[in-house]
Amino acid sequence: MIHRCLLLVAMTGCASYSSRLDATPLPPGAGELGVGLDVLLVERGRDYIPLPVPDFTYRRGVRPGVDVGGKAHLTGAQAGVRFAIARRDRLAVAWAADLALGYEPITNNTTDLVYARALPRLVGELRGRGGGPTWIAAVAPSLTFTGPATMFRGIAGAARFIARPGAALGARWPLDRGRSLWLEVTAQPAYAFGDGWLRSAYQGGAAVTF
Amino acid sequence: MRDHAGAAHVSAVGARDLYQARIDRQRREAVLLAIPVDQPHEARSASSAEVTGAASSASISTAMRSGGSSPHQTGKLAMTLGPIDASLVAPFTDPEVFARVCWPRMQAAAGTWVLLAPFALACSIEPNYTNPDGPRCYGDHAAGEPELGDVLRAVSYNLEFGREVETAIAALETEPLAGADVILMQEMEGDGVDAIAAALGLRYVYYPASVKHGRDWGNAVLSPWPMRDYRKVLLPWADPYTNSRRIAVTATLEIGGVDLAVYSTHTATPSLGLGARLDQIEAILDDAGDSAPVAIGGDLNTADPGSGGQVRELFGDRGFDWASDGATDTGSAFGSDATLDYVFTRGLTPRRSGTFAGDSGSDHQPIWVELEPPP
Repeated sequence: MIHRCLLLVAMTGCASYSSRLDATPLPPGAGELGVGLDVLLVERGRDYIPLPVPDFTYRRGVRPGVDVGGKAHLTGAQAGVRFAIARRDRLAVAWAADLALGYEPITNNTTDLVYARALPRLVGELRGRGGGPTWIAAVAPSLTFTGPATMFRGIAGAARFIARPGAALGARWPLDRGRSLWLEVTAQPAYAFGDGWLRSAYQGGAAVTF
Repeated sequence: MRDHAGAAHVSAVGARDLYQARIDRQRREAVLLAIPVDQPHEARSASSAEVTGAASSASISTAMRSGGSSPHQTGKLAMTLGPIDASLVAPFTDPEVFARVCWPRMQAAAGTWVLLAPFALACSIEPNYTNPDGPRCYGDHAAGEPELGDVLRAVSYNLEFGREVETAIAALETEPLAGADVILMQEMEGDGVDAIAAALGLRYVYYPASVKHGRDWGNAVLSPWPMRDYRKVLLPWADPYTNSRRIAVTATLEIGGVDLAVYSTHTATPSLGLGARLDQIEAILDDAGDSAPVAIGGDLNTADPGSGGQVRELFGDRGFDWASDGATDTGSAFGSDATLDYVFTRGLTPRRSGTFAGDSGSDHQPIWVELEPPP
């Protein structure tokens, strides 16, 4: 049974849609590791099923107001850069752009297995007072190119572009010794060019960064 | 079409000259362009038999074997990814160092991935028989019509590349499979189907879906009852690794004066998303329409958790009974027993069912279903 469950996880769209970014890039030279566990609610067959999505993140500040980083999950990874745009009192806004590559079905209804996704994100934060949580909202659309493995052999009839006008809400609680606890939920509607709207994916979970 | 003296016929329907010309053209294009052919690679048995008209059983087998090779047989490419550069995970302590050292290495690694991925992901592309009319094999080894008993027995049997035909014949001559009124077979070659039909005195229709490992690979319906209106139903979606397409073979059996529509199918493995596999089943259900009585059976590849339930629900929504509910653990999937094979019926009353316990010569066990005869 465990083999079949592993198969299910491996074959059923383990794409990770979590954003887990606030609007404050790390200072130059500072690094931050993160370990998260999310639940991905994704269409499978004619129903929704929940899937566990463990992921690991790493970011590092490269210059004032700019950091780079990435995320790795079961069969995919993404990397990108984040720029601070504006800051006023407790409010801050940042722009992030990531590129994700993966080898997994991301719609579960089609033969797509390989994907490349561009994720421009606009992140806003409201910093908490006196050790309170920082509230985060992100507009996180993405454009994904996806296709079957056979496209590398010249057969790409099932390849397509999928636009996801996604959004995320989250919070970050400061813990001791520089660690933070993150909670986030995201909704990812999906529109496949040529096929129309697909059923949305939802993801929510927690992470610790240090 | 049918020789009641017992000789077997092989026929490709439609304009055979045009069909052959199209295949020849695709072969030439495949050679010129060195691309996979997503069409029937050749009407091997059909074209051979068409030339001679009616053919004997022996000539069918000979024709099937001597038909030549696939125009596009590809070997599997094996490769290994190189070690990941440790500097990719090294701290980016200095923007200048990052720009001068890390970034070029990241670009090189990404380029390597992009260049090597095609080889890592490459699998043999399997030519498909996408012509809805054929090729087709039909044979008649029945000696008249059987007597209608008090029970109608249906069998579904995936014979794993049709390798152990003699074992299959022995199994089909053993209770509770013996004397089946309809046998739905999957993963078969034409000559294997003909051998089974000849040994058991049955009529049959067979359509290959694609070519695997250089051999035809398709479904068949076998029955002692008169058979007509046989067709191939092309199912949607292609395998993401091999581009192989799936089909259902349907025929109408005249059983005791009642028409029974039957479908023998083999839907995709979990390498295709469950939604797409359900689309394949819906294509069969749409083809069946509201007809009754009807029986749909075969290997539905419900190896992944939850897929069996959704398949049964889909059939139930269309008014079908899971006639083979007593036939479980019909195969093995990823280290554990799994129910992969099914028979669903509408307009028939299931009595009992089970899984054949003897040697099947396959990675599947055949399943049997007893039904009330059609009213």
